[in-house]
Amino acid sequence: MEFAITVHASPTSGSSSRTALEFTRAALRAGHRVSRVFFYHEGVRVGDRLAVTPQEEIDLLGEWVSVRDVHGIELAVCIAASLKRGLLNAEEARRYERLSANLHPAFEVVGLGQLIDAIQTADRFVSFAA
Amino acid sequence: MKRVLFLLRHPPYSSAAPLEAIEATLVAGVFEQTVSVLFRDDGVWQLVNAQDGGRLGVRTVGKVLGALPEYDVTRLFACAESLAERGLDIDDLVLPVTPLTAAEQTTLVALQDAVLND
Repeated sequence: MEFAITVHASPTSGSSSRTALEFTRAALRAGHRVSRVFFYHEGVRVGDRLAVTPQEEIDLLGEWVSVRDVHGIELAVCIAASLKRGLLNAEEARRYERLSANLHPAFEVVGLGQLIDAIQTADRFVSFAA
Repeated sequence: MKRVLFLLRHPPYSSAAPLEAIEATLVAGVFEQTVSVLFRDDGVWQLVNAQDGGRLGVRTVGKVLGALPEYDVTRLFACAESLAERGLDIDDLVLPVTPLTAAEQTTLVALQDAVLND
């Protein structure tokens, strides 16, 4: 079956980003499809490529990008939530004249309509709250 | 058309999450999903009348909630116990909500295709 997943916590504000990653991997191993992982609220922070993870800790950004690269899963961040929290891709950085584009390019910047679309089209929806 | 429940449990002004969840609720309404909203725990504070977010430099949550019916989001519920614990009167809220017992809330959640927390 096809899963749509949302993540609401950042790597440092709760454990749900890690749990969502493990769930995604388990679902893929079991032969399911994961259409989209939608990052909302603090969850958008995982896309920050300026973050420096201590060596002995898991690099969640790297892990999510790897899942996307290997399985072709779409990683989406809500545009309003990411702008507010200072996660900007190149286009938004230009638009708002900010010093850097820190949002990893593996993440698509989308509107909330994509969240509803994910809910609408998937067989099952799982939300990893804060 | 999916049945989507937004479960709002946080107080209105202590983080950005409630307003963001409410925006997602409005978008779900625009996209014609079967939307329900359940306020429980400190989320019932979002319903209090006469809020003024301007004094905090933010949008007034109660006012944004007032837009829900315009977006066809009319299935609005609140945890009866959460309201009672906080001394909130069902008739003194920004929106008409149906009070639910814990058992009724369980039934509501079980009916959904998707549940989103704030």
